[in-house]
Amino acid sequence: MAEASSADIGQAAGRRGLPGRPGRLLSGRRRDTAVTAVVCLVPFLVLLAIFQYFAIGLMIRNSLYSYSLLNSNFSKFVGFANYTEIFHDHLALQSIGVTLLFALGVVVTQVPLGLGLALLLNMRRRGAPLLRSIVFVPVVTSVVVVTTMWTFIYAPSSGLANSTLHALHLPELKFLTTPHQALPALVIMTLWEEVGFSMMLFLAGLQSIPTEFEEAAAVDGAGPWSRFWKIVLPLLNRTTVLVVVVSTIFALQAFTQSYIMTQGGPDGSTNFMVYNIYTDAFNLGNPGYASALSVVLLIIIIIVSAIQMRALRGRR
Amino acid sequence: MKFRTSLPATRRRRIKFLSGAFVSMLAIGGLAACGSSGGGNSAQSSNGKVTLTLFQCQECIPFPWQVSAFEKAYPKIHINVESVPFGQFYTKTAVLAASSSPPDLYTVDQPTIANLAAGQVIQPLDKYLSQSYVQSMSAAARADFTYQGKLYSPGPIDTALALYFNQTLLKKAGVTPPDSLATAWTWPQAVAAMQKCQQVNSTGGHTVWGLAPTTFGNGTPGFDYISNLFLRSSGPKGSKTFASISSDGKSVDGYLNSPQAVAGATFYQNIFQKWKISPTTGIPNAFLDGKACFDMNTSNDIDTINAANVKFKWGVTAWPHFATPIVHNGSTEIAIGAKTEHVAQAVQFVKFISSPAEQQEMVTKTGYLPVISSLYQTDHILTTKPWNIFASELDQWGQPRPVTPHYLQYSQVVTNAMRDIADGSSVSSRLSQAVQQLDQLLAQPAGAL
Repeated sequence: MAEASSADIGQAAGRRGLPGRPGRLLSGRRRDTAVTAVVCLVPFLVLLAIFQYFAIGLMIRNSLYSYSLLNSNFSKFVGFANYTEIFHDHLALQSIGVTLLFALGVVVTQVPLGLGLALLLNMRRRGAPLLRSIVFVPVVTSVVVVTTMWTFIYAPSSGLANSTLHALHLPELKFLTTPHQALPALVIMTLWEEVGFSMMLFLAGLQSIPTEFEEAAAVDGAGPWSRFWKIVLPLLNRTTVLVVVVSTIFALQAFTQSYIMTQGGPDGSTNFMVYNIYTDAFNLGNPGYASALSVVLLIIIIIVSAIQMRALRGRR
Repeated sequence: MKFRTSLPATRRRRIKFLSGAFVSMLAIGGLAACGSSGGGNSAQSSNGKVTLTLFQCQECIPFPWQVSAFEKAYPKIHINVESVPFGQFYTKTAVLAASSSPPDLYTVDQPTIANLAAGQVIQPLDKYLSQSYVQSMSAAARADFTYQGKLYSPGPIDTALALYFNQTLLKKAGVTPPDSLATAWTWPQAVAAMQKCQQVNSTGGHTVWGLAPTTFGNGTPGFDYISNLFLRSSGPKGSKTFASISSDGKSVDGYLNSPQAVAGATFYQNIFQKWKISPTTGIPNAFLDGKACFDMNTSNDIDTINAANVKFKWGVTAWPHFATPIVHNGSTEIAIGAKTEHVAQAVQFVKFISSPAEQQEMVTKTGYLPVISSLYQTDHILTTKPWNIFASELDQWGQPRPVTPHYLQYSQVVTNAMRDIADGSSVSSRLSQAVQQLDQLLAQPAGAL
């Protein structure tokens, strides 16, 4: 075995953080890297602080006031009155229920479908990359374009959906204009739009699983289902947590569907929280109350995400 | 430089990169600072030229040719116009009004004048406008622009709804619409004509609708500018139903949910649900494409139809009614900012834009009607078809939308309720719900958004 040179020892010491000249050289390099990182990050951290954390602070402050966007003379401190009002506002309570129901509908359908598509398109088959792209296209398409297109699809009589039902001799559906069908219709549209995103995350997760595990299980006689339930799914746990949490947050923040397709109707059945906040702030002239609703939404998102992460972490 | 050569190449590159990044940040910051200093308020240059800022919605008054004409007539005044799409118009108005450099001039949506006046965004113009001009305005326009006894805008434009019809389809169906206000249809008569004219295929799908979906908003029913006419027209003149809001603007209970209002709203619902003469979702260009017999629109649509070179003959008939004929008047108007430092110049602009000559020119060029009512009987365009229908409606039937500093709330709540009613909600309970919500909002102090 060759003797190690003093330089090698010094470098090794430097890696361990021990004193020595070559180690100091590496420390200097690390310091440079840290400085570079700080210089690169500071502008974005400043923007993050101003436009996220400062804005959240301002929102919390505003939630304690009743004020007008037009004239600051109408500003009045009301304490927690805006929060107590939420409990008496059936539209706000309805919007919270509708949003949670929508999020449940989206997550329950999107996660298994995204995983199914990922499993299907993870196979090395001709055309798989093209199919992946096709499934992913709605994700990168403007939400406004997607919602407008689906408005036409759901149009009564002349829409694509009802034309298909006619061709199949099935009764016409009202979709967006009846309270019982409007929310499921928006869930389906959102599923179509976002499932590609879940699929991509699951694909990345699947491709990070070493093939040796499945090969060893196959040698031991495990069938495809057994391999999926006992090897693939447990190893995809982190990805599943990510997909569930991200899709839930997206669903809780849904706005465009209401804004463009239904304006919260019919009868408030698609009055999502963010849309309700928007109308309260800019159409009904209650920015203080809208801020209180925004704080409630933030708390709901934090609680729901925390519950999901805790519940799914247990399976790790 | 010599000393740099003693540094390792990677460190030199890093220093260069960091320096570059730092300089770029400074440059971006500097540009941003320059950008912010350039925008905003009015200014007076050393040569005495005053720049006025004007905030407007896109494709609203004043039009570019009017601004050019004014600047030509008043070379010492420059108008700096900032425009946003109509959807963002009011929100941006609120943001600018509360900023440190609010505009000198605003284009305002007529029914929001009371909101802006109560919020002290715009200033009264009584002392700047001549009494003869004020008296020359139509009564409805004067009422529109007045809040708490003060006049906040000179107009200068107005419009109203009427029924456009596809004469080719109507002739085929054997329907002849009335050609004057005296013989105007009632709503049941109009619906009978729409039912007769519409065409349905063997599967029940419409190939031609009796009534086109609205072109306002996203094409869904409910917009209070139209739908509230069904309620108001159901009541006799002077009734609570016709007024649609209390005189102090504090309540709609007994106004929006009166038995007559419920009857009007039920009729509105039947158009979509029982008689199925109009769809509950938008169909772009349904009337222009010959897919609808009738269309509810303002005088501005005359130009749109002419420009579209439609392949059918068309005409305009007066807006149908129940107990009392009524159309809502109002359009986008001009007003002077409450905080402007150049009142004299702003007044010159406002007077120029609202002069009789400009109002007359606007009819020809844009389809907007004037607010000077004498022109309805004397202008050669306004006395010919189809313009005369709109002019007569404004003159005889024109009513402002509810004049209240809470109009935005009123509009939002009524629109939502009437959309739900069109979609099939229970009429009386949905109107009662709207009344309850609105009465709470109307109780807020004037000056809120």
